[in-house]
Amino acid sequence: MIFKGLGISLTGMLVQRIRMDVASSNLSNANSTDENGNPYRRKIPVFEAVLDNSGDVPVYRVKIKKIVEDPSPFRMKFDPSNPLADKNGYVRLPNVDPVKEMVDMISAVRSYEANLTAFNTYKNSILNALEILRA
Amino acid sequence: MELFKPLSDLEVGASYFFRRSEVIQGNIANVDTPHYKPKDLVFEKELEENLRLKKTDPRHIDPSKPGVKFKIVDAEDYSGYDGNRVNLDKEMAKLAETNLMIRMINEALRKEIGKMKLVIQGR
Repeated sequence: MIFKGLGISLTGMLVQRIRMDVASSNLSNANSTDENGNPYRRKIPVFEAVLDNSGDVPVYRVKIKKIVEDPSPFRMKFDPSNPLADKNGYVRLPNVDPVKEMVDMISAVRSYEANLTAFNTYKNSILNALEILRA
Repeated sequence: MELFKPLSDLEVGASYFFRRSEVIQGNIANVDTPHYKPKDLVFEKELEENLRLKKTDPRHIDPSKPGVKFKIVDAEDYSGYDGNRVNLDKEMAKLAETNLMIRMINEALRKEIGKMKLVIQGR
């Protein structure tokens, strides 16, 4: 690819979008249980740098390596009237902390913007180089 | 050809700054990747004489491009809680610098081509 820089920044924007998707999915499932009555586990995307050696200079892209589940314990809430309550009257709720998810989303938006700026800067450099043809 | 020497010199510079821009964009894309170390591209001109190909046969193509070696280096910077060492402000500043250098080289190229046009066409 000639305009490799566009593709690199594009991968950066893509992973940040997925990170936003995962954070909003966690947020919307903050009180969900699955069909067996088990609470939803918080998901975390794991990023990985990918070496691209196709050009004369090695460059790094980024991708989502995997989406892992947060192993931290579930929240316990005392609610004896809930049909899912255990014998002591406690209900297990997902290990989602809305504050954490909001912070993660803000961070993702900022990183997305940084990649978008890099994309536009590179695009402007190319457009400027194209102007040489009109010299 | 000697006439086009300034153009090919400028082209080497433009190519370096485009490559450097790609490396910096890779750093920005990996701003949240654990244990990622930022990379940078350096321009090694000392090797020019050693890398220049020898012409042992008159039918060989003249190696007119100066031998320039691009080298990737790991930049050491502060480390965040996840072992990522990318300093976003620094990378953005480097990207802006690269963009300005490309603009400067483009302007020089335009001027150089304009001069050649003037020589060819006359006034």
